[in-house]
Amino acid sequence: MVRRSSLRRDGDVPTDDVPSWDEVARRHGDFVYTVAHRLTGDHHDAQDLVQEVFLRVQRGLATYRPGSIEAWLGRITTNAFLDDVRRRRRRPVVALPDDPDLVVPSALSADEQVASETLPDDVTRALQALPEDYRATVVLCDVVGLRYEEISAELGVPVGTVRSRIHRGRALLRRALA
Amino acid sequence: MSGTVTPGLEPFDHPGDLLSAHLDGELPAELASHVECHVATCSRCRADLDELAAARALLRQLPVVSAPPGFGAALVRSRQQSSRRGVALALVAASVAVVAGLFVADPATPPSGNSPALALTSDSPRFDAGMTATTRPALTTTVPGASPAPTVAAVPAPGRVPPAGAGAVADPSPPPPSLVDRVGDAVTGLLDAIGG
Repeated sequence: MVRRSSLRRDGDVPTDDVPSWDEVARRHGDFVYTVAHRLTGDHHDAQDLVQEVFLRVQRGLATYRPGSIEAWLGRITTNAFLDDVRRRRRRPVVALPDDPDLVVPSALSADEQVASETLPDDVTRALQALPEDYRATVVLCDVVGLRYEEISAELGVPVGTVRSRIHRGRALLRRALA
Repeated sequence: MSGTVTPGLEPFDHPGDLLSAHLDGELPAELASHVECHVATCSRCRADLDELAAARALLRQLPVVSAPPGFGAALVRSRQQSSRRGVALALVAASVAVVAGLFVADPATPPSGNSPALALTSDSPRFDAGMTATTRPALTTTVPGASPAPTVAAVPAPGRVPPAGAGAVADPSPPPPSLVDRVGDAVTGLLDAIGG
């Protein structure tokens, strides 16, 4: 089952038809680009990632199982991103404390909780400050719209780890934006 | 509070990372009910829950990001070029195999730098409404393997065969025991380059 995120579009309905590459690119290109941009944080890296994704799409369409294509594309994009991160490791993974309570920010007053005052660029920057594994997990949940079990299967980590990463990732994000 | 789920949670146990899971509707009914009860009486966890909900909302409300003009069109174009290059390289592979067979002493070296990686141009028509292609070449990346393949032809280029014939052509004395191997290597190398 896939939980729809705000990004996923009405056109992303489960279908029995296997789309062509051109169809995928035309109808879902902006979705892939947006997921790539959430993960990488800038246009240059997003473009590189999207190129890699569509190479993988080209190879993977033959084995594509009909279903939610944007969930499938989101998985490919995130995996391509993590593969690249592992390959390059431009910066070490930041070790976080085991106790998730430690990273939950202290409560803010109601006046400080006005989300609408936060600019998208600020959110994007805060997202980039998360360790890549956390970022990928949060993006799969809140951008691609996968459920925890699906994320667990995709990343090869226990559901408890997914839950912990999402929790800490959001907590860090909120603290960065406070 | 660790991340582990303890079925026998006491009402005063802080839910910890169950809070986010609760927001996402990822908890079984029993745990969800525990979180509900706890949050109703614990101001700290209630505040945390609000914070987490705000962070989640910020992420989910981020707008769609549009690719730079021309990028989508370039992507489509690059795939078409990639397909054509694959065919061209297959033809080159066959040609070089012939050359390798004719000129045994000339070691067949697969061309390098012809990676089939995506190469972008930007003169394509529209790709998607969200990715408008314009006349401005927003993306003009170098195309490593884009030079016409036929320069590697079945006829040896003059420059490649030293006039003195030093080791290049037709040394009749040694029989060609490795002919098959060399042709095989050439084809294998090229196929690797194509498939890589």
